[in-house]
Amino acid sequence: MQSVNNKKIAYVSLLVAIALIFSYVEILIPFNFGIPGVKLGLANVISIISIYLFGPYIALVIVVLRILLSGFLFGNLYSILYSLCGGILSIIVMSVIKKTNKFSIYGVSMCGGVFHNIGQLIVAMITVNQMKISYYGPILIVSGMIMGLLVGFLSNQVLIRLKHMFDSDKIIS
Amino acid sequence: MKKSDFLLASAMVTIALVWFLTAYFFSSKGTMVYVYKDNNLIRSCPLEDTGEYSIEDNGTTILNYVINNQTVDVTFATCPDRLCVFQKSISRDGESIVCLPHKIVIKIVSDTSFNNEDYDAISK
Repeated sequence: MQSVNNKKIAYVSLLVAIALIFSYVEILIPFNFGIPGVKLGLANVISIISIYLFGPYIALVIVVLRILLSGFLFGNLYSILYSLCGGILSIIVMSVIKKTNKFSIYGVSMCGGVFHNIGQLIVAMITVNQMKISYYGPILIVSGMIMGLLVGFLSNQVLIRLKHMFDSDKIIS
Repeated sequence: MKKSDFLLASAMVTIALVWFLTAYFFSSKGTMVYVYKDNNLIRSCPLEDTGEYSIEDNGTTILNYVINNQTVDVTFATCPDRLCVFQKSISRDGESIVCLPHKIVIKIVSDTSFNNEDYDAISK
């Protein structure tokens, strides 16, 4: 539904590569709170700036490519499944929230973080067939919010500096 | 940050808080420990049975857990991230320790809120 041109291909590839590096760097940082699923989500910076610079569809492509590649490189089939669910849900929700034009980038990224975790939680619930995740939900919501704020701050800083490269009315900062 | 962001954040925190309080006040002290592997119940025992237990796969131990003082804690696992070992020890109904790589779930159930999916009735 959008025209493909060389410029877009180049930008998408570049962003996927950068997101891959972010994923890898995150593995190097020991971020262990003993709670599965709590991570920095640095690669989400790429997801967010993709939504703001290129729109939801290209952002979705970038996210799926990044997850598949980093899954084959660093992870396994299950990690791909979890990340896909979380990543796709996160992009969809972020795009919807952004379209309402009522929230700043911080609101968008908070939702992104929270729904990324919720997506992963849903896959975990299906995998182990347990509906009772009583205490886990609140933890994921709060950590998703906090990480979302951090990612939002970083994304904002990146977008401010990239503004001159793209149509300035496509960017809200 | 705009005002609507703060509203969104407060809404999320409220939902998380309500969820947590609901889980806490509706939970009762557990009485039974159920261990699931690959969604199959492999063993169950009362929470009073103090001791060290291990779960094996083809003869090798893949996870050790300890029941002590009416709480269950995972002490050893062969999964790559060992998150199950780091998880807090559990004691109340509904709490569980999960090892996703091994597909092991250890959960605490109490007689009052019984998980009807597995058994129709238990006679003691």
